Amino acid sequence: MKRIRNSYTGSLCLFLVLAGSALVSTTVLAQTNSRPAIPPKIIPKVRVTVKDLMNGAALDSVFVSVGAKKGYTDSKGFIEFDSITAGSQIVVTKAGYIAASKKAKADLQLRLSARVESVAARSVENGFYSVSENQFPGAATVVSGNDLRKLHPWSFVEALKFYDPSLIVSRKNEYGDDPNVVPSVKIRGAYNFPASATISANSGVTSTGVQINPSVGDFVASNVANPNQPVILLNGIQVAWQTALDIDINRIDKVTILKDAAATAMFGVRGGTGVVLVQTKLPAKGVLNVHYSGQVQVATPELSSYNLLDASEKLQLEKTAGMYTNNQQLYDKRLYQVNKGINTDWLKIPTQTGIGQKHYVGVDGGDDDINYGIDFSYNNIEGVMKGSDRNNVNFGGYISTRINNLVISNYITYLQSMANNSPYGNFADYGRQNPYWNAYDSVTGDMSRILEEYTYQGKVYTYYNPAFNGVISTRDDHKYNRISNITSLKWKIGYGFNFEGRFGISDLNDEHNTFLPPSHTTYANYSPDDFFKRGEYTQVSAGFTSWEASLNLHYKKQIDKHQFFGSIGTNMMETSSESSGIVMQGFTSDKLSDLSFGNAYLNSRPATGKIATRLISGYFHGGYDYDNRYQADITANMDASSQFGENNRFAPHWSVGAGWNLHNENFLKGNTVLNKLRLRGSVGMAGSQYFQSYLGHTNYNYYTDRQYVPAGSGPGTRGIGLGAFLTAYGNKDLEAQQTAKQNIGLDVVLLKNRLALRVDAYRNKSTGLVLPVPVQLSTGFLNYSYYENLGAIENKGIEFDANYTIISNAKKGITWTVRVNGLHNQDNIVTTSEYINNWNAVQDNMKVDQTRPQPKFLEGQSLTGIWAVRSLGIDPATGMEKFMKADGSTTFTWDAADKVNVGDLTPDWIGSFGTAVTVKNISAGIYFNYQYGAKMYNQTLADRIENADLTYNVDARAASNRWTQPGDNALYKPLSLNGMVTSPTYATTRFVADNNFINCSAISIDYNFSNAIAQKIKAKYLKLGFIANNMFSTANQDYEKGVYYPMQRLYSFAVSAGF
Amino acid sequence: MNYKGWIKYLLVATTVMLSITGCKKWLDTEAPLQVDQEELFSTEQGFRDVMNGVYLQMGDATLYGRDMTFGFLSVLGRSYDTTISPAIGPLYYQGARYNFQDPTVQGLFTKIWANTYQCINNLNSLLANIDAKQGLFTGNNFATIKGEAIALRAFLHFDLVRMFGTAPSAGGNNIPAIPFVTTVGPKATPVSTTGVVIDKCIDELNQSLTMLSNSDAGVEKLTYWGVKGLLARIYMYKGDLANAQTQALSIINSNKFPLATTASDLMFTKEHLFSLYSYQVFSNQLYKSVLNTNPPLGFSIPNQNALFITGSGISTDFRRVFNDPGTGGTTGNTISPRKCYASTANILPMIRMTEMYYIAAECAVVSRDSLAATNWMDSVRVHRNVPKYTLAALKLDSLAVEITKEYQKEFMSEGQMFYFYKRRNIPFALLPFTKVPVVANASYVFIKPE
Repeated sequence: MKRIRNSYTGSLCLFLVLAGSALVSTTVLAQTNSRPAIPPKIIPKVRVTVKDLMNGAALDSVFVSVGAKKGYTDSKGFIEFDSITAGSQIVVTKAGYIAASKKAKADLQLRLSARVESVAARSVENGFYSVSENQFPGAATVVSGNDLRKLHPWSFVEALKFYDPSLIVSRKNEYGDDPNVVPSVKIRGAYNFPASATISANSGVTSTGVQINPSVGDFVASNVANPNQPVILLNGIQVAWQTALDIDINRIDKVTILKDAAATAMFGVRGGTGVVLVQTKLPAKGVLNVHYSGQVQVATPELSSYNLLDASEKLQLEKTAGMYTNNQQLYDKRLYQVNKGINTDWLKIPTQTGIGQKHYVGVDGGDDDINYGIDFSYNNIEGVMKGSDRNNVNFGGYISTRINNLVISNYITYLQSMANNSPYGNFADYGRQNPYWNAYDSVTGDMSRILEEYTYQGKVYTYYNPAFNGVISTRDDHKYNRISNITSLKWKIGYGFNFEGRFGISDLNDEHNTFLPPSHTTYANYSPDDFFKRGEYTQVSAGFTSWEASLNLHYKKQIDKHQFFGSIGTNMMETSSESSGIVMQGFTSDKLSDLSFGNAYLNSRPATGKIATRLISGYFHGGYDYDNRYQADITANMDASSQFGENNRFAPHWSVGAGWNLHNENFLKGNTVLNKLRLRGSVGMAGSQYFQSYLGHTNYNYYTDRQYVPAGSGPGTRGIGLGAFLTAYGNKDLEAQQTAKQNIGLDVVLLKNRLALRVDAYRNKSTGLVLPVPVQLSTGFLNYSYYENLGAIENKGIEFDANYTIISNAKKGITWTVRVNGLHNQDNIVTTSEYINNWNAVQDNMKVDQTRPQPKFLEGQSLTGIWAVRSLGIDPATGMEKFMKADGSTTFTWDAADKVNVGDLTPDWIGSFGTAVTVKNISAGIYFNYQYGAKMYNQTLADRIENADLTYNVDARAASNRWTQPGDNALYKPLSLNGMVTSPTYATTRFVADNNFINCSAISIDYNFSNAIAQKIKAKYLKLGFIANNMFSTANQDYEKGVYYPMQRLYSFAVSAGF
Repeated sequence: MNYKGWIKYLLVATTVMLSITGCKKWLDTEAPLQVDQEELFSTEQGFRDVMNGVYLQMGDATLYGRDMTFGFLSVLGRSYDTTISPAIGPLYYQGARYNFQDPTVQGLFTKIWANTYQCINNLNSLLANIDAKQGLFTGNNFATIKGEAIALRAFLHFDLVRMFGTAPSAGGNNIPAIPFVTTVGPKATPVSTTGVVIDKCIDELNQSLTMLSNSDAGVEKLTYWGVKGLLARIYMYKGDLANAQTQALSIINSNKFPLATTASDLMFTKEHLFSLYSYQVFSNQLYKSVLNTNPPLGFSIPNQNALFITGSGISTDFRRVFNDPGTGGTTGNTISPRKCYASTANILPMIRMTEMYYIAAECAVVSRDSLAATNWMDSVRVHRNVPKYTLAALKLDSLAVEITKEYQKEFMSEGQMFYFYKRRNIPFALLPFTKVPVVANASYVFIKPE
């Protein structure tokens, strides 16, 4: 223990010595150019015009230098120099373009060709150091912001999955396209059990070490709740996925996905589940550039998967099922409604076509010495449910200044997000309303509160209108502000040394308000006694502050064919999260919708939470390259975190990688077919610290409402008998979870750079998973849980990404590319624990909802298996479902013990394909994502047909294919007024279906106006764009998509211009 | 300022930052809404606060605050005979029937088990830390708190073994009963037999007597005389009468706990060797939850007369006073023991002096000394406003009956009667005041939840 700590502090000392020695050393700044002896011929004026090779558009802000003279092109791509020596070279560079140079002459036209990302060797920046792709042995993907913007108008993550199949972005079917629900993201596979199975629920546990009601920016809470989620860093500082999704996609310069050990080991306990880096754009240089982009997004509800009965069909079904056998009066009443022509389309009532808009203005400029930029954007995302939206305001200010070899920059950003959830509530409430009910009052046309009321056998039945809640002051919103500041310093020390320091701090404040007015249908059946308890206002305030400081020293040296690069650095971070929530009850009027109008607190105390975490990290990275052919790479990291027990405070991580550029070998040089052939691989270890906090601490709390021997109220008797009790017993030996990663990859570029192929095979094994230990009551551990490092999960698979350029004709300005990629991943539970085994047993308990397949975690199985009882179909003789028991015999009785793993929710292959064509000024693309080999449980068949309650509307298929008489070969059980009551259908293989699909995720068209037109509005460039998302899908349409919130199609029209 | 100036400042700042943060302390973040153990046990008061916490938890409704005193255990011990019907709710109705298979009854068993072991766990945690912190304590407080914690742990284990273990009189000494837990940790302690648990309790209590001082004041904590009283009780339960008598007599002869002479304090708090203050029975909240509900638990007037007057009693017995549960008054349906309405009602007796007299008497009966036995009984009777027995020495078999009766009168609604019947292994058919018959498989052994 002590030894490890010494070595850690030792590495810090070494770092300080290095930095200190660099300070005292003098630095060579600039070299004077020697002048030629013979006076050369002078060209009095040189006029340079720079254009894009592909579309001929003038290029502004191009850095042009000739000898000591330099400058930037203006909006027409033009720059003029005086008195240039004949024969000197004019060098033209611009980010994103291949630099060019030409001999000086009076009128010079240069055409720059844009870098084709998939072919040129890019550099991989992993947040610590930067290294050329051809020298980096790790598995990483870099996607530019421009590529992302082609695919989605505001969500970079939906676009990112197209470029890298290993980034698995999934949205739960239940939440549809709710703009306020963050999709779940993971890289490659599973590294942990879901939080629901590991955050222990001993009956008395009140403090779980998980932040309650966390700020949406609390990445600690978010990663604890989603333990497979990769860590995401925005400009080098860690953020929550929600924060990254709320920044304007226009500001993204590039996104890097880091996957294997060589790419993630220096992240230590943050690298285990992979890392995603988002880098925003740096301001462009030039005199003053103004960028504007405006966008209109139209979201239309996509309800075609809903297949509901209409008014007369529903009434007929009810009659067939025998609902009116003794109640002809009700039938007549409803028939009258049907005959009157009432056939309400309930799905339409809470939905809308959401029209949102987005504006971005950026101003930047400067030169090498001082560089600045300000950007502002407003993004209003309208959802397809009425009143559901998300409004983000971004503001950023960047300034950097260079003093000789030192560059200091500061970037301050402000983000405000205001999310509203629909007051109409749960979309599932609408699909179940009977179409013969009128949502509107037939006289006034207002939304009615009561849909139907009748008395039957002395009992009053009342049905309330869920849409009524949408027109009163129901409220559910979440607002947060985030301010972040990043100061960084880059110093070229000389002698191959570079220093980088960074300090980032961010502060978030959230407020979440919900209000259920007293006339809300929730309170419809309140008794008169509870009259003053109607209405509820919940207010949760949360805050999250984090800071990160890092120091890095880099070294690079080339001696002949030997290249050395090394980095050493340290990083510290602290997070602190807090929240408090109160619930007020008892409101007298819908209009008095403020907290202060409540009658009393629902709970006597606010629900509060506070969590703080700290991390210190030190790393070393060393790389060696011989002749651009062979590379070796090692990383060592030592992390110390407050999350670990005090006996295991330090966690070491490492990686060893190697690469071989076969294309640089003599035997392949000069070969015309093969442009690149690179083999690389790495092994190593990264970890995870995202489990509950304070598991290593033994804690007490005090009784706040009583004291022992309370005698009288005199001052002498106060506080004499305060009592403390144990609230947590810590495991001082708790360690970080470790993920051992292996990766081997191949990069091939063929046929004059036309075909680029990347293949990676990997295996990640996570061990020492932090899992609760089941305890007996006699240990006294009723009110707290005890965690140990138990359990292991492995994922392994293969991924590929292929790009082919079918046509590349620079002169005609035509390119046509296609791309296809895919991932095959398999998760495997290696070791479970006693607690997980107990948890599995609970999943078979009839107290758990068995109408849906409950997950189970068994050794040797996938984490996403569908566990259901094997069905032999509906018995033609009896109409009952026949099952196969675990032992193979048949039965009519469903028994949870007979459940088997009948399929996997995880597909065999998941990925994307697409094609893009550019013809001169116009480019178009169509992009698909697919999955193959997955299974699903068709919950619609279970919930909306067999277990349906005919009091409400059901799926149209409920009327047919039901067993009616002996001999019927039916798909579904006999019709019943309430299937859940008469014969509930529990998880059965009958409803397990294939889940293969191809989705058209995006269609995009861009048009670049020619310079002539752009200049008419004095613009440097002018572009129009159109994207359509989720246009069509081959997916199984047998189930309702978007249960609590509908799915949507999204069309967006954008215009962008630069001045 | 030139860049070198910047760098110097930066390096100074980072060096300072690293030297501050290099230390492990920075990483040792304490849970903000909790008190860390290190902090709590950094003062003597912290240890006392943990002891207080245990007493407070013992006052919980599922433990001594209700169900292990005037609630469930008193239903089992036949302190109540009115409204023993399903209307009273499954816990007390099924409890009266000794139907331990009932889920509500088992729910209570789970709570008693879990909560008592939580108290034990808190004591174990205190004991695990106290030796290393001996230097913090002033005076004799180290020994006092440590002895008190060890003794209280034995007290709790003894009540658990009396509930969840088979009584020695029923041959339980070699039957597995409960775990005797002395360590803190997630690993369960193996179950010991009743005999082993009782012996461990005796050992620990004797150990604690060496730490406690016989001049310690205050019976709201488990102090020297309370421990001795507990020892007498345990020896009695074990059947070791010689030791039981020794302990009982040494307490009686100390003359520290004179018996009452008036009815001014029906809880007779001056006679307590160990009493528990329950915050929650303060203002009678918990009493009201069973004695003042509709329907209320109570002891019917005919049986009051049968117990207190008929035979060798008298109507002026201090203990024969009952209130009306509805009005709280002294007229009407007077079935609720008045002591539960007394101003001292929140002081729950854990061990009382009179039990020592009865132990002395019972021991005398076994050693066939009927004169001494009658004497011990009379010593209590005169302090309860009941005349002495007419004979100077009752017959031995009538003494046995009289002792049972006096127990019933003295410990009404205190939960001790269940233990008395269990200690004596009284057949269920012979239980007095039985309103509903017990179930066929009735047993004195509670069912363990694990």
